[in-house]
Amino acid sequence: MKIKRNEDQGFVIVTLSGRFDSMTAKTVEEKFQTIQDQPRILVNMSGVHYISSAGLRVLLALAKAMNRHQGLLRLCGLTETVREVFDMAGFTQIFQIYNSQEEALEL
Amino acid sequence: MAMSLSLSNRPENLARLNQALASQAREWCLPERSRAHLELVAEELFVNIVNHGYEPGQPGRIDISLEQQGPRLRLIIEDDARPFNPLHDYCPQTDQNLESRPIGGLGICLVRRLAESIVYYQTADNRNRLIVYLPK
Repeated sequence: MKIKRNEDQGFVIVTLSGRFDSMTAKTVEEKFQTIQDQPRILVNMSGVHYISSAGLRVLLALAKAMNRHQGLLRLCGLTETVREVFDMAGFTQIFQIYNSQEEALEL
Repeated sequence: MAMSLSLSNRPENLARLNQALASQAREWCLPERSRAHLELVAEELFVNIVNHGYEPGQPGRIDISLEQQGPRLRLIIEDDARPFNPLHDYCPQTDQNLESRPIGGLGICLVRRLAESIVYYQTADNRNRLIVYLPK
């Protein structure tokens, strides 16, 4: 799993590429823990073609942490397979999901 | 031909399981979507057994096999962990709002959603045997 961090338009943008599974979830979780007090985070998932419940848990934990300080969390670039897992888990309703990074950065 | 492998209960063996499934899926020319579903089901079940089935430090063996049965795939997972029937496991509601959503418990729910049918029983020598049928 590759994790890239940059900032744009007031958002900390985390771009993930690779499998988001039980072997990589811990690395992503540790990265999220270093930024979860930021006011605005965008997670770009366009490079993630596989997610399991381990990845879902890490995203849910980030969403809960952001919610506690009224931070803004957005996701963009969900691939077809990831979106299907999101739908099955009921995650599509609890996350703000955008088709592109450009769209997600508009306030 | 069918796939069959035996793994010790170490989390990093998920990589070996993935490799075996991917190579079998290629050989059978499985559509991308069913390959993704198969990998997801196998990961959730394997990780669940490894993380929750054994006492810390207890060695264990997990046997996994996969075969084609007409329009379906049959995945069999057999282990010597403590008895666990995933059909009885608690499934969190997926329509709750963010704050009331529990962090865990999603894996087995995904398996139950993707499987066409699931059979669980204990073998005569007290091993867990789980048979999962998935559409191809």
